[in-house]
Amino acid sequence: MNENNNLDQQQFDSEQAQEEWVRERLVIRLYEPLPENEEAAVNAYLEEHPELCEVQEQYEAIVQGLGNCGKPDIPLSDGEIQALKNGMILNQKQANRQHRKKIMYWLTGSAAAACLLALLWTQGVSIQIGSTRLAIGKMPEAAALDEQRLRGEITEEMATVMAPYIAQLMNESEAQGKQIQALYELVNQQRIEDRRELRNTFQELVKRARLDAPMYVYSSSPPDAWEGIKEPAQGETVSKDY
Amino acid sequence: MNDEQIVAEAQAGNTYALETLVRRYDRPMLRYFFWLSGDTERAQDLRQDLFCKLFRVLDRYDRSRASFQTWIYRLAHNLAIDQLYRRKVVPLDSLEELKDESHPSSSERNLPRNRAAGGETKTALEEAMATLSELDQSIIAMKTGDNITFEEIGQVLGIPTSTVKSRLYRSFERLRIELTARGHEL
Repeated sequence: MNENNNLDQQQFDSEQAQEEWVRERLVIRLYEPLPENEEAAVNAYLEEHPELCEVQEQYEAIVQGLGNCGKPDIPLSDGEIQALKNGMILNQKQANRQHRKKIMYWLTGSAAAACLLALLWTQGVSIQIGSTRLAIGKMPEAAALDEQRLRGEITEEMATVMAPYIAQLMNESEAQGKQIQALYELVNQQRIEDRRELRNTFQELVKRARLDAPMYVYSSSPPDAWEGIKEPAQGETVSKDY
Repeated sequence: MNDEQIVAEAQAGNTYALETLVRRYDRPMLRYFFWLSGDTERAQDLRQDLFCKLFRVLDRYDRSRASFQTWIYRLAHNLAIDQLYRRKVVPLDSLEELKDESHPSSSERNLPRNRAAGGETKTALEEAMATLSELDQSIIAMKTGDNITFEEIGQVLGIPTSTVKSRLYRSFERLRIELTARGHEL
């Protein structure tokens, strides 16, 4: 006991602080038991300072007084409880209605979103950002449409611009003509990316063939793949069975 | 059945469980509000409001965060602070500290206990209680009315347990001095 007291004494800066600590414990222990070491320290202090016993009695009187006063004992009547219950049932009904509304909104929103997604998926959306084409939704179809368009452009270009010259060149140089014809067919069979590359090769071959060919299809200044090729003169017959 | 089991039943819509809950906390809540308001009728009104509010927010109670007793006392404390003092309340779902001065300020002197003193005869102790801040009155009310543990009081008020203990001690000291000064023998 004395050991605890000594221990506690070492923790306090002054006698007054220790007394404050003991007084606080005197109040606390009126409601809840103290830990053993604190209880021992308090009792030891009370033995040394009997004047505090009077304070302790005053605290006890306050607790007793508090217990005696301020105790209205008016329970809720059955009617009041019933009214509260009815209020709660009403609240629950309102809450359920709101909950059902939320579910309906959620279902409607989900259905709309699903419809939008389905539409995107079946139709596909293609967005051009700079040189990049971004396909949203059903990508194969969007890409296929894109490729189809490009294929058409190139084929049309070949048919309208190049074909006459191919025929002409074939007439003039059978060997080169066959090479060009083979390449032309290959261009049509290849994928769009390869076709672009092949078209360049094709143009190069045309240019070379043109250099070897008679001058009437040759324009003056610097030979260029496209610019150098002249359209046949009006009335000039061009074979198309290439 | 303990509180949590009853609350679970009430949350599922069992009105009998709800009634049990009301009857269990009927008197403690009346006592608590009486301590804070000092007026029986006001305390009854507050009790009625509390149970109405309880039914509205019962679904929000989460047993993993606090015991039901702690939760309902916090609800009651917030209601009392809001209606009696019109002060900032402690959030129900957090343990933020309730900012309150150690000693009652001039505005706190205008306590509902003083305002409601008209009709009822006050004991010297009740009058001395009126000199305490609402936080200190709450601590005494919870400890005297329902003997809630210091730890739970700390949770209700959002302050450390050690603060609850030291505040209770200071309140007792104040009451002792007030009663002695009024010539009341303890």
